[in-house]
Parts: sequence; structure tokens; C-alpha cells
Amino acid sequence: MNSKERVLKVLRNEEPDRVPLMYRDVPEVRSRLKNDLNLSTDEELFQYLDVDFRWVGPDYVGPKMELENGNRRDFWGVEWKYTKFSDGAGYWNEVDHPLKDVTDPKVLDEIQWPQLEWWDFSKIEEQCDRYADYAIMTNPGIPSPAIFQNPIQPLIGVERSLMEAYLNPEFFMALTEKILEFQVPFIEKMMQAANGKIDFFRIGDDFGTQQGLLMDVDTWKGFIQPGFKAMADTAKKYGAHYYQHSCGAIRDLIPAFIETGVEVLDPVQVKANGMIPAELKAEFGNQVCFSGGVDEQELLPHGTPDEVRTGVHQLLDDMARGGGFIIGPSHNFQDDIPTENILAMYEAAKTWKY
Amino acid sequence: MNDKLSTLAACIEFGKINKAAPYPPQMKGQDGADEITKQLLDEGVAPGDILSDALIKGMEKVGEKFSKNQIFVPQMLMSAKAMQFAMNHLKPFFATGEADRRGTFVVGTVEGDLHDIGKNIVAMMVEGNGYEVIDLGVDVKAEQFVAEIEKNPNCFIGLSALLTTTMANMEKIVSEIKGKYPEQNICIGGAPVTQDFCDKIGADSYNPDPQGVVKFLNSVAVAS
Repeated sequence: MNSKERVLKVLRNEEPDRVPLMYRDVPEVRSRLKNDLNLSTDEELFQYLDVDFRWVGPDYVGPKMELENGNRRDFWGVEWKYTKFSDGAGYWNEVDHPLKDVTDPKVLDEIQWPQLEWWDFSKIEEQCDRYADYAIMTNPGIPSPAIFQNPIQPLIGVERSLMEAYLNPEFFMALTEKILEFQVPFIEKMMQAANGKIDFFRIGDDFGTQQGLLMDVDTWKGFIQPGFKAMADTAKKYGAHYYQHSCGAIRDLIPAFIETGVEVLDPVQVKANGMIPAELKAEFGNQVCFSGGVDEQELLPHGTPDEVRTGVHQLLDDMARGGGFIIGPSHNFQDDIPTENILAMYEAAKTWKY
Repeated sequence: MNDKLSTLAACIEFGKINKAAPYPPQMKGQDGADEITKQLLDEGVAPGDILSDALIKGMEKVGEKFSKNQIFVPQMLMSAKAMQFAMNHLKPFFATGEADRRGTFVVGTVEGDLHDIGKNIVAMMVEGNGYEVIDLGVDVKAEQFVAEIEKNPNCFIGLSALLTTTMANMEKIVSEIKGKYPEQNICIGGAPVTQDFCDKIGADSYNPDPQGVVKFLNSVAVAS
């Protein structure tokens, strides 16, 4: 049984030979793991860990993003600055919100939105063929688009984006429409170029805090759901399964996700309020496949390798029987997670039996 | 009690910012926190009464509903915004000492971390409950907190972090502050923070939601 078959089998709620393995990280972890394990390429790392997924997408060939001050301007026009939070690691934060003072939907017609020509789609099928034995997912970034977390939040600011659907709903809808006018054709072109060989189209947005939802379910259905459905339905025409990401305590949103057509829900942030693996499995296990679940708030950064192994086995006991579960970290592996814990997580998952 | 004070409390509770704001739908076209606060001051109602009988009352309801997941971050932000519009009218009176605050809360996201939405919500809620808030922003180092304590010896400190990777800096800041000022009250919070971590680093209070911070401050402020 190859990786692709293994993953597609759990999606059909069947049990394969072992639980499928997902992988996500921050760049600092990727380099460290390769260094610690004496491996030179990403592919060698994924093979070493027996990761069942591979990622594909078009290459960006548009206007230069690097600015002279060392910052980057992305294709939405948002400038980002790299900030270190420790000696070896950091992340990008937006410097400004270019549409923060724009409230008139008409102004959106005058803005330079990203163009399909800024990406080269010609090598996607070749990438899919190279990884034909693996479950193929859209790359992080624009191939796995969002609406709310990106670009609305960087464009108008987090706080305004949270209030906009209530205080200026016309603008929120107009902005969403502009984003979709680019994203839906982008997805169409990417899927066409892959010639039906992409297994998972991922939407990477966020609607949960540690305690609850970022907005009420009705608002989500009114303002977010139609755009997600338009994007996912486009990908589904080409045979891709719809893989949805949302961090946080999103249990109350799961029925709405299922209604939108979500087939896999990631990352099961188990320390968030109400995200209890056994309960999620009992309540939704017949309707959606879960992916993720290995706690990154306590277990992976602060646990011992033995604790990680026990935690992984407990999670699999709760979630994996009968299929419908892919194991992976509950966020990108962060730089505070020891290498031995990452290795313990994958070893434990591979030795667990259905 | 003045009916307008109850209306103002409702504006805060439901996030009715001003007359122009379309939210909440059931208050559309009516005066909001902005207009009503000004009217109350024009009628001669004492700023301290407006704060305690309308704004704090409204904000307490917001905090309770938020901690029960009955409302969400957007509603809380709109309530906080309504509060800010009201406070803009009241601030001149506080500056002249005509109305007392319950205390001073110095808050910031810790060194290395630039996430501020949670910290901002806590700051708004605390201000809405009658405290002066000094917001040091994001990426705040221990010495900046220490400098504020020197200026405001009785202040409460609030530290926020979103990342497991920056929680370590929280520990460092608590230890530097407590090394100099062992009695200073420090609250910590943020997604990965727990009561165990709070106990371990010797902070005084961990709360999973902003209402918990307010309750803690109120308990200490009353005691002192």
C-alpha cells in the first residue's frame, strides 16, 4: 500500500495498514531536523519520517517582493517585516495595513490586485507525477488560500476585520468579492494544470481562539461560507478533496464546515476549549476526517519523548479507529520542540495498531 | 436612576458606538455611546457616576457574556469601541482629578512577541472597568515595565504572549520585576499560558479571559 492509497483509505472511513502521517513546520525546524539527522533535502526528511503527503503549486514569477529595507511586499500589497523572537527563529509580521482607511467599496476597483500571470503553472503536473505515490496537497500560501486571515486581516487590520462584517458589511462583501475574483480563477488554473492529480485542496484560514469562535456561526455563514464554497467547489471539479484548516476552539463551527463540503478538518487544537478528541470523533467522525491533533502547546515542546509516545497512542486510540484520522502536529512544528520529540511522535504513530 | 444612564449601559453592552453605527440592528438610528455620554455631561451628571453606573455596568455584562461564549470577539471589540467613544468625553475630567480611577494597569505583549489582539481586548476591558491603562504595546522588555513601575508604584502589571516560544520571555520579565519589586501584582495571559505556568514562574494571576483579569484587579484593588 502506498501513501496515497493509505490516506484516501482513511478518508473513506476505512483502516489502512497504519495511520497516515502529516507534517507541517516552520523553516527553522526543517533546517534543524535535516542537520540533526544528517539529511540534505526536504524529500529525504519526508522519506525519513515516512510522511504520507507531498505539496505542489505554481512558482511565483511576478513583481519582486524584496524591498531595499529588507522587508517584503507581498502580491496583495502588504509589507512584512521579519522579527526575531529568539536567537535562531522569528517570523514575518505586517508593517502596515494598506486599506486600513478605505471604507468605500468603489475604491477597491482602483487597486492593483494580483494577476494570474504572476505565477508559472507549467510545472505542477510534473511535480504531481514525481510524487505519484503520495497524497498530493496544495502548497502553503496562495495555493492553499484563505479569505479572512489573509488577505482581509493584513489589508485592513485585525481589529477592523473582526468588526467589519457588522459595521460596514457592504465593504466586507465587496472586498471578499475582489479577493475571490483573483482566487477562484487561480484555483481553476492550478487544478487544470495539475490535470486532476491534486488530491487535497487546502483552505488555510482561522476562526478560533483558545476559548471560542472568532465570530458567531451565523456571521460566518453569511460572510465567509459562500467564498469558501466557491473556492472548494472549483477544486472539487478536478477531483480534489476539500481540506480545511482552522486553529482554535471551533467545535461549534464544525457543522457549518461540513455543510460547506469540508472533507478533512485540520489541525484539531486539542488544548483549545471543547476540542476533545474522543468527543469530536463520536460527534463528527462519520461526517468528516480529522487531521493533526498532537498537542503543540504542552506535549511536544515540554513533554519527554516517553510522554509524547503515550500521548500519541492515546490520541490514536481516541481518534483513529475506523479510519477518518490523519495524525500530525496541531500547528506547524515550532522551534521550541526538541528533535527527539518530533521523532518520538512519528515512531509512536507508526507502531500503533488499529 | 437616570434612564439615560441605563441606555448608555445598554449601548456599551450591545456595542452601539454612535448614531451612525448600523450595529446592533435593534438600535439602528438611535443615539449611541458617543452622543449619550455627551448629553449626560451636558445635563450635569457627574463623570464618576457615568463611569460607574453606565460604562462599568455595561462592560461587566460584556465580560460575563464573553466568558460564557455568548458573544464573540467582534461584539467585544464593538463594545470596547463604544466605551472608547464615551471615555473620550470623560477623560478631561479624570485628568483634573474630578473622577477617581480604581487603579493603574500597565500592559504589554512580551519581548519577542508581536501579537496584540488579546492584549488589546484585555486593555479595553480593564479600562472599561474603571482603571487607567498604560499600554506599552508589543515586544516589551523587562526594563520598560520596571520604568513604568518607578513612575506608578502601585500599578498592576499585565503580560501577554501568544507563542509557546515567547512564554520563556514572560518568565524572564516576571523574575526581573519580582527581583526588584516582590510585591508588585503581575497578571499573565495568552493562548498557551496556563495556571501551572503562572505558578511556576511566580506570577500572581492567570486568567483565560479578560473578565478574569478584571475580577483579579478588583479583588486586589479593594483589598489595598
